[in-house]
Amino acid sequence: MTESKDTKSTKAILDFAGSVRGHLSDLTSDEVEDLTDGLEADLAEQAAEQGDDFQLGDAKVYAHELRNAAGLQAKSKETALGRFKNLRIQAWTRINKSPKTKPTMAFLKTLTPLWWVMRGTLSFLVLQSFLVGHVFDFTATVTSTPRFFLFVEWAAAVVVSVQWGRGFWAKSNFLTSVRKISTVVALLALFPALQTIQPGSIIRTISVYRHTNIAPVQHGVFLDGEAVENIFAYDADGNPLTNVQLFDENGKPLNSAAAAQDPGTFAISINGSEAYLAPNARAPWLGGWNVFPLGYLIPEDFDTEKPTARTALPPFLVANKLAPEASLAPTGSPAPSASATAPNGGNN
Amino acid sequence: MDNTQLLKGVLDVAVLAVIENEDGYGYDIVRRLKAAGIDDVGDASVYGTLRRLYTAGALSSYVVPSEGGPHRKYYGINDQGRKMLKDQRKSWQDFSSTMTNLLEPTSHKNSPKTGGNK
Repeated sequence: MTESKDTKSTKAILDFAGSVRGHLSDLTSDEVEDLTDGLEADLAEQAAEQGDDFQLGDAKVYAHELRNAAGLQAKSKETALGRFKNLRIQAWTRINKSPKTKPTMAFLKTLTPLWWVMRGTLSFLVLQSFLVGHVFDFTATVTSTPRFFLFVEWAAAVVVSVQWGRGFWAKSNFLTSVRKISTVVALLALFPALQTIQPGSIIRTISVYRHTNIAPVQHGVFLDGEAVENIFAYDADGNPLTNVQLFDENGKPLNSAAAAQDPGTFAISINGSEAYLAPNARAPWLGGWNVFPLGYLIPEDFDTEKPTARTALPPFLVANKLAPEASLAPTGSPAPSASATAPNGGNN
Repeated sequence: MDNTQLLKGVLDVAVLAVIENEDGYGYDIVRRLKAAGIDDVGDASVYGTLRRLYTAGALSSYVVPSEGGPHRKYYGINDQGRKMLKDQRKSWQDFSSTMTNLLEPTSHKNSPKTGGNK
């Protein structure tokens, strides 16, 4: 037999075996596997032995004979779902048994336990996102739930998923359906999860909750645990500066806590009245939240078409001058004090 | 007469018989049956029978990996299978003896009224 003939024969055998499995699609996957495990090898051996006389025959008849001999019930009337299942099994068989894709499938098969853990994790995230009312918003999900329940739910979901993967805990039709739905939901959740969750962040988040009881992500600049709304800088002579851009040691903008919220929603109090911090319009590339002091808007400003931010008054009109370098005392320079001249109507 | 119909009733015992002394895989067992003269057997019937006997607890099964080709699923007879073979062998011997006597022209003519074959 030539190589081309061998290839054709192999393809025909793969097709035939896939088709036979397709005709058994009403059985459970274990039954189909039991009945047809090694079918390709047996047919290939037959083909090699019989040479040109080898005939594959009708896959439907073959499946019928196989089923009857095994004492399994004959298939009832074929439905659209059955036909779909039939095609799915044929395609799956082809991918698994084809010499081209077989090594890849064998490799992927070794990763199956990883998928079980992922399915558990994704199912946990979806379920949790429903419970906290942020459907498919996984960042909100993991940051808004008490630490203990979060960990227990995640662990339980992973254990159940792994047990399903090992063939346990899904013997009844109901539980089999739950497992299938869970798999589909996990697949649907994969994309949003990859978008919002960085690798390991769930574990990190749970760990942070477990050990520190501090919310893992807080935006903006903080002083003594309080969010800093606005920052006022003074030069060496104690004069207030405007349009000061602030960055941290890595070049990241030091944003006001207002940056973490939607524009026009971070409320502050100016002279006892409601006001809203506004970003600096001259630095739109960074959002304008790290250019201090930030201006503010009052509710009436939102009625205008293009509201202009009002200037926030500094806590002191002038701060203490820095001491001349030559006279710098070893104990350090004096800090601005409340005795500096305060303007009327400072921010409260 | 179509031997296929006759074979249906005795395929179990035939399969058990050909693996009584040596374990075998699907097509290997088909080959042994054919070598024994059972030409009409379909390989799907044999594979289905193997699965049924395995489910019934008469056979054990194990996979033999192959470096060159695909792995092979071997079947071997166990104690329950040996007992089943022994019982069915006896049943077949009784039945075939009865049928032989029944179908023997001389014997059949000699006892038409009783219909029995002693």
